[in-house]
Amino acid sequence: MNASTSQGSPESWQPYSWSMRIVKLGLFLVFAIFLLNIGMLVLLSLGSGWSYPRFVPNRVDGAPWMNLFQSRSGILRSSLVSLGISSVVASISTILGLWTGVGLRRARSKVWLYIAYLPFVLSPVTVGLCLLDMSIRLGLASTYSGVIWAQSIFAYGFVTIFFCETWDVQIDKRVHLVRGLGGNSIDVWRHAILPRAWPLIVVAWTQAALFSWLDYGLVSVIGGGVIPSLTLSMFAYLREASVNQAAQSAMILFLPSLISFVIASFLLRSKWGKEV
Amino acid sequence: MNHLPREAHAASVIEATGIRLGYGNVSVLHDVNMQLNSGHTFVILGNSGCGKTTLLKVLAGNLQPQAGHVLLQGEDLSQIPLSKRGIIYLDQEALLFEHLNVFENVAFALRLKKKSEAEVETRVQQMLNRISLSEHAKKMSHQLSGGQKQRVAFARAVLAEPKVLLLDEPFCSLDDRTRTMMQELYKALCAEFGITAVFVTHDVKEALLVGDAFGYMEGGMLHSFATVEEFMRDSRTGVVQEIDFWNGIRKK
Amino acid sequence: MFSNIRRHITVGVIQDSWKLGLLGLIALPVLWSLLYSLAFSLGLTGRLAKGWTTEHWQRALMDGFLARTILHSVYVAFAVTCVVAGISLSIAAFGAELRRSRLLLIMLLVQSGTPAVVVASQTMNWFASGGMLSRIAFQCGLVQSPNEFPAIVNDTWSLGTILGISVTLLPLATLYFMNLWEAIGFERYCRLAKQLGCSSYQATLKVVIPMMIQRGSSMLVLIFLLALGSYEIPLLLGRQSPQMFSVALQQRTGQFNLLNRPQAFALATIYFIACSGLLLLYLRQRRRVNER
Repeated sequence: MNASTSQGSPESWQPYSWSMRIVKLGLFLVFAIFLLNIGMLVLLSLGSGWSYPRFVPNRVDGAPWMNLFQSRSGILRSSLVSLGISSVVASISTILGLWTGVGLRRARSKVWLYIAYLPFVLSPVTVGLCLLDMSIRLGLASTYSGVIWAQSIFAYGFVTIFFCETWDVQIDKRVHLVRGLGGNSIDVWRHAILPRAWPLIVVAWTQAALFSWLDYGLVSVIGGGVIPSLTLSMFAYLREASVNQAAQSAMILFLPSLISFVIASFLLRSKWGKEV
Repeated sequence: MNHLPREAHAASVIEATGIRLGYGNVSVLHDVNMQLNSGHTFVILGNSGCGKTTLLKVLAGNLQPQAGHVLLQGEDLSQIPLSKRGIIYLDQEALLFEHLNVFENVAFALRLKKKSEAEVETRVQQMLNRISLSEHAKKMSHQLSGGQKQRVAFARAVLAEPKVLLLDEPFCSLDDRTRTMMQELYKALCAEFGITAVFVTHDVKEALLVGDAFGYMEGGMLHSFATVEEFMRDSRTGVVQEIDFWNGIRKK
Repeated sequence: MFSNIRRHITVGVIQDSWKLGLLGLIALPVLWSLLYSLAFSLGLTGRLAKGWTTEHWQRALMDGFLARTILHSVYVAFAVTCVVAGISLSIAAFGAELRRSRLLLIMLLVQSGTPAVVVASQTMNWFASGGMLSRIAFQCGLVQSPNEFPAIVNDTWSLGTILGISVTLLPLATLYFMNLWEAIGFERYCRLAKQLGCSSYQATLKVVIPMMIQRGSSMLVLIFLLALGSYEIPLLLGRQSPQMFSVALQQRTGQFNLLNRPQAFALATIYFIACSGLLLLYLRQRRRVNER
C-alpha cells in the first residue's frame, strides 16, 4: 500500500494551492500551443500561399491535397518510394536485430554492447559521408540497395538494443522449458519465443520502419539525391519556401509516427499490463 | 542533546483515539487507541497484515483516518505541516541521500537548522564515533553495507532531534548478528538522547529487547499491556511458546 | 570423435553467429568510416591524395575551421543539454500533478514521434522573420516589416537550432526522468527530507534534483551526444558559419573545391573519436548506476 497515493493522505486533502493552479495553467497553455502548432500545419497544408502578414493561407482550397494524385506532384511517388524502402529496411533489421539482441543479452558482453550502441549515437550523415567511397566502389551509391544497406546499419543497431534491453525474462524461462522437454531450435522459436515476443517484434519493426521513413541524411548522401524519398521532397519544398507543400509533406511524414506510437502503446500496454 | 532521565518526561507525546481506517469493505484499523509517553519506546508486536504499518503511517500523518484523531503534544496532527511535526518514519530501507557522503547525511538536519560549522563538525563526529562509523565519513551510500546504512539513517534521525521516531521493522532485513548489534545500539542511543519512539516488529525477542511499553496488534485492533509481565504472559505474543521451545531444546 | 568436435564447432558457430551481424553490419562500417576519414585527412586516400601529410590538419587548425566547428557544436549541444535537463527535471521533480497527467504523456509521446525535419519546419513557421510570431508582432504594431523582427532562426546564437533540437529531445528526457521518479520512489525521499525539517521546495532542490541528476547522468550524456550529431535541424535553422559537425562535414565534402575535403574528414575523425569516448562514458555511468 502506498501511503502517498492513498485517498486518505492529508496532502491530497489540502485545498488547491496557488502553485498547483499555476502548474495546471502552464500545462493547458502548453497543450494549447501544441494544438495550435498542429492546427497551423493542417491549415497550411490545405492552403495556397501564405503572404505576409496574413495569419492564414491566401486561399484555403485543399489544393496541395487535390494535386497529390496528379502526375506532376512528386509527393505521392516519394511517399511510395519511402514506404517501400522503409518496409525492406525494417524487415531486414528486425530479423537480424532479434537474433543479435537475444544473443547479446545472453552474452552480457560490454564490448559487443558498445558496438551495438555505436549507431545509436553516431550521426547517420557523418557515417554516410565516410561510407560514400565504399558504396561507390561496391556499386551501391545512388541506388535503392545502397540506401537500404546504409539505413539498415542504423536500424539494425536500434533494433538490437531494443531487444537486448526489453527482452522478457519469461521468454528465457520458456526456452529452457522447451529445451528441457526435448525441443530443437525450431521448436524453441515456435513455442517459446514467437508467441510471447511478437508484440516486441511488431514494435521493433515499426520503429525501424519509422527510422527509415524519416531519414534524410543517409538517403541524400548515399542516394545521391537520385532516390526520391519523401524527406528529400520536403527539404526541397522548404528550400523553395513552398510552405504549403512543406506542410503537406510534414503531415504525411508525421502520420506513420502517430500510427506507430498508437500501435506501440497498445501492444506494450497489453503485453505488460501497464499504462504507457 | 537530551540527557534527562526518562522518568522526568512522563507527559504524553502522541495520543491516538478511536482510529478507524479501511479500504472498501476491508477494515484495516478498528478503534485503535494509543498513548505514547515521552522518552519511552512503545513496541507493537504483530504478524504480517495485522495493520502495524498502517497504524504507523497514521501516526506519521501520512494517512488520514476515517474516524478518530491523532494529537501531537495536544495539537491535531493533521493541522501541522509535515516539516514542522518532528516525526520521523524509518523502515528497513535506509533511504540515504545518494549524492551526500556519510558525514553529510548525518549532518543533514543540522545544516537545515543552520547550525555553525564547528557545531556540525563536533556533533556529527561524536555521533559517528558512537555508531562506529567515523572512518567511513567520506564514503558514499552505495559503498556501505546494509547494517552500516541503517546506522547512518538512525544517526541522521537522532541528530534531527525528533519528537517521535516511528520505526517499522527497521532491522528485519539484516542478518542475526548485525540485527543484535543494531538493537543494542538503538537501546543505548535511546537512553542517551531520551528518544520517544514507536517500534513495530514481528520478532518477540526484539520486542523485549528494545521496548519499554508493549502492545499487540491483531486484525486491526491494538491491545496495550500495562506491564512487561502481562505482555510476556499473554499467549498471543508468543513469549511463552518461545520459552517452552528453548527449554525443550535444552532438555534434548 | 570427429563428429562430436564438428558438432561442437557447429553449435558454437550458431550460438555466436549473432556476433557476425554486429561485426559485419556495424563494427566494420564504423571502423571503415573512422579509418577512411583519418586516411583521407592524412592524404593517404582520395582523388587528390599525394601521400602522407599533416598539411590538411594544419590548414584546418590554422584557418580556424576545426576550432570554430567544434566550439560551435559543443556550445549548441551543451545549451540543448542544459535546456532539456532543466525542463525535464523540473517536470519530474516539481510537478506531482504533471507526472500523473495523461495529457502531458500524450503530448510527450506525440512530440517524440515528430521527425526532426518537421520540428525544423514548425520552428521556421513560428520563429522565422516571416513566421507566425513576426506576423503577430506586425499586427500588434511592434514591427513594420519582417526584417525588423529579431532573428531567432539562422541567427548568431543559434537560438532556433537550440530550440528545435531541445524540442526533439525533451520528450525522451522527460519520460526518462518521470520514469526514474517512479522507479526509485523519490516521493519517499521527499517525505523523509520533510520529516527531517525541509520545506517542499528545499526537499526538491537539496535532495531530489541532485539525486536525479546523479542517477540520470547517463541520460544527460546521451542527450549531449544526440544533440552533437544533429543534422536536419542545424541544416535548416542554423547559421552559415560556423556550423555543427554534420552540416559542416556535409557542406565541405560537397563543395566545388576538392581541396577542402580533407579538412572535412579531419573534422569527421575528431567527431568519431569524441563520440566513441562519450559513448564509453555513457555506458560506464549507466553500469555504475545499475550496480547500485
